[in-house]
Amino acid sequence: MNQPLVSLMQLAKNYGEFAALRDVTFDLQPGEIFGFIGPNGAGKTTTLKILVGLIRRFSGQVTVGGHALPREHAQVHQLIGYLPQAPEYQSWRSIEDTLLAFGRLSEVPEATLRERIPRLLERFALRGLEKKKVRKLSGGMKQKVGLIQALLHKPQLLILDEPLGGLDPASRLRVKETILELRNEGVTVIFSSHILSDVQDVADRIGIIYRGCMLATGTLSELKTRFGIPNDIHVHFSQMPDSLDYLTQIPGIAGVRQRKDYYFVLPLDPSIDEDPVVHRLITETLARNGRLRKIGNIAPNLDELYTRYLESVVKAERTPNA
Amino acid sequence: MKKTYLLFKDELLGFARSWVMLFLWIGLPVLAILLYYFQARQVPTGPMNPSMEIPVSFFISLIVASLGGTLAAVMVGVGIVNEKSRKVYDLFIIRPVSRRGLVWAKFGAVFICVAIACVLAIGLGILIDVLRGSEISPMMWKNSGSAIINAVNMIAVSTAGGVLVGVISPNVLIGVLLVIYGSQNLVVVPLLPRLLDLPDLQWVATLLSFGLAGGLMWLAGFIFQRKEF
Repeated sequence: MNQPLVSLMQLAKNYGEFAALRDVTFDLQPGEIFGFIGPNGAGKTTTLKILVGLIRRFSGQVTVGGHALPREHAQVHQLIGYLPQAPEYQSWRSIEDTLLAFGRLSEVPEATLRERIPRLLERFALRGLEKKKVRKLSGGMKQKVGLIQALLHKPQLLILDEPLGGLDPASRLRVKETILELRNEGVTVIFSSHILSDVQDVADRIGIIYRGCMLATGTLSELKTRFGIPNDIHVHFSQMPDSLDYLTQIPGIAGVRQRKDYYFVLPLDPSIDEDPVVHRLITETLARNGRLRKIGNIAPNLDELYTRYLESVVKAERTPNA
Repeated sequence: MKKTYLLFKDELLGFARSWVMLFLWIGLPVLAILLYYFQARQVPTGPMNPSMEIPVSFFISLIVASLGGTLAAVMVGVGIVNEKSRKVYDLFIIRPVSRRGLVWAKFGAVFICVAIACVLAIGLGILIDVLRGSEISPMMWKNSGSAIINAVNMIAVSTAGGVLVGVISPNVLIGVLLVIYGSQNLVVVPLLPRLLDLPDLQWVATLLSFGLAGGLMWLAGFIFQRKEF
């Protein structure tokens, strides 16, 4: 395994009595996309702000590209691009002014800037709006300008705090494509989002933070295995069988939930091989005069995984002796 | 240093093109001239000399010296609080830019813009005096020069005070109050030699003003550097 580009070890941050972060530990490899998820107030933004040097007083160890924060923040600033949650700019500037100023401050040569800015504006459908004042931009447009300023100096580490919030579907798709392209160029991306389907679409690994503690990190399938959250079988009948009692009698089916008319979700026992269960389900349904329109083995998506996992964490917190 | 210059140049352009500066560069001299013609043209000085016409340049220098400092302090203080609360600085701070450079750039831009506005206003006053056929005596030049230096001193102190207030204030309201009640008292500093009956040397007042402005800016930079965003 390569030397990690980012390493956080037992990161903690207090605001007076309030512990915003208690124990955050994870590494990021070069070229990895890391989806950072958690409920509101869990500590995602605080963690990202520490990484970009906006918060300099904390405990624990943080290194980016081998440089320790906060001591070597000047070197770290050369490596990172950052898109804050709701980027704001000096209101008197135009889009072009804004991007030129940030590019120059990031030490991008003038000729490179003149070539790169139009290309990025084109990519994010802002071409022709160069002279528009940033104060007149919509939230989504500001977000796009924010993303462009973060990419201008070709950072090794791109830190995105809710990058897809406020974007229209086409722009969301474009941003996700950009993130994947950056990964192919070796850029490490860490991004937080509440839109878990977006995280699932692009993230190589996922980290779940809750009340300032990193609860788990891993790929989606690793997390699924670790949390013991089973797949479901989704069954859509075109003709209902005589009775549904047989469903729970099939070994491996842990329950029956009706989602709508003729449509049922059957959670599977995680220890059972799924294929024989599906085969038996089909056979028994036909034997009871049932007809199937659709049947499928559905892995829980990140939304379900996250929700079920957090529910179990909250339940465990409420019953500490259980 | 190069980055601070870039920031300064940008801020200067930003202020120079703003509506506030437009008002300052055009509105301030016009306001002073209007006040002169409508209210203060005749100044009673005593029974033997019931009235004496004062030069426009002198009157304008009084107006800009009192208004320029306040305007500079409010402008920069409110500007910083506003940008801070909107988290505008986040995208600057995450770049290889000195935080002190950011506040110095702001100071430099506002100081220069307001100082130029004051010099323009006083210059306009002199021009009007000349056009009205007033005698341009060496004493008048000396007084005008002295007025400009005093105004610049006050603007330097006020702007630095405004920057400090901007850095420490949590919101615009507190910022404005602090600027009005705090920063305004600082402009007395350039007048201290005169008030304390010390030899009224222009360079002492200037040294005192810029020394104080430097101290305030150092403090503002120190606080801004330690600030968490």
